[in-house]
Amino acid sequence: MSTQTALLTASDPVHAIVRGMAGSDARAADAELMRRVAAGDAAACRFLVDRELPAIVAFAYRMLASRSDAEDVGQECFLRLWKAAPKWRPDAKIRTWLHRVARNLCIDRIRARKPSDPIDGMELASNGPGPSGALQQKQVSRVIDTAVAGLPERQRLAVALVHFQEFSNIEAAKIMDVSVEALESLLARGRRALRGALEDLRADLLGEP
Amino acid sequence: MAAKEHIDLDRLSTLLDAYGANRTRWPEAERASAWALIKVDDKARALYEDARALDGLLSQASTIEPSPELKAEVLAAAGRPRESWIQALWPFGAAWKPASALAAAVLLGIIAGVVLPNPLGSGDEPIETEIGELAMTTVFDIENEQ
Repeated sequence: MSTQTALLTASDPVHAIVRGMAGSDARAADAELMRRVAAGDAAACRFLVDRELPAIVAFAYRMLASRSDAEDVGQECFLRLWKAAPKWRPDAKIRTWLHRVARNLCIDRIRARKPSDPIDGMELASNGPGPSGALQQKQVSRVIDTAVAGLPERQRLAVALVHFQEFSNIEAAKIMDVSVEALESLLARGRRALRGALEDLRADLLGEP
Repeated sequence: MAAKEHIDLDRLSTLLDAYGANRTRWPEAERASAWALIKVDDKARALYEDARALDGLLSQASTIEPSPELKAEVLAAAGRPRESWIQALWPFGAAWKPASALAAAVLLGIIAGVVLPNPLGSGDEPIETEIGELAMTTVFDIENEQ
């Protein structure tokens, strides 16, 4: 049975739609999922929420450093996805589309924040890793989170997309609306800044003086 | 995209600065030549190890999972029927009821207009005649005064 025929078999379980698909097949699978969403198929909706919501919330958290803001962004992204289902373009990828929407929502929120606004949830660490010696894992994570959250908006976005969301350079550049060269430059500046910010932590973890 | 046969230490340094030590993130065209350089060049190897150490730190960043409440809200929103422009105009139930009433009213108006005699058309009513005369008189008087 061809892929397309398999896609059109209404009785297929939702998971079978995406099994083993990549590239243009992945787009076809996404289009079929969205067709089912538009038709009110609850299983397709649940499948998409299970597959994509964790990634979107994690991405928004990396950008906003706030659980409540990240969940708000996740919810808004999915409301827009449901609304877009009847007019879904077959050449679009759901994950890329959702990250573009999330990017815009995160940037709006970052720009609406006043510098004095407190950031909840992440409990950002103060500068430096604290007393030398063995750091608890949670403290290590907080120091790293703080360093990432301290990056300028576009560098943070580039690092979040490539290093945390595992997008390819081409996909990440598309999501950011920049060239691959510009993305590379943002990534390099971001990682250099992180290396500097985490120097003490690295020395501490490695037991260096 | 054609693979690059050779890259220098500067380019490797830029690649590692940008993408880190995970080879799957490197641009496909430069992957093989970058790895070949790391295998034979001590400086390249040192840059690679440095990038790997930073990757190791970044992998320890915290992350969050969506709450069950959020999942439930998102799924509930998917089940909600989407509002059409008709529903936006008439959010009180089936739209055919007000639409039928409106159509019946229009039809009744047309029938009444065609079938019923025009109450102003006969000219026999004393009130209309009186009003007409009064109007003419006023105009005549004004013209005489001039």
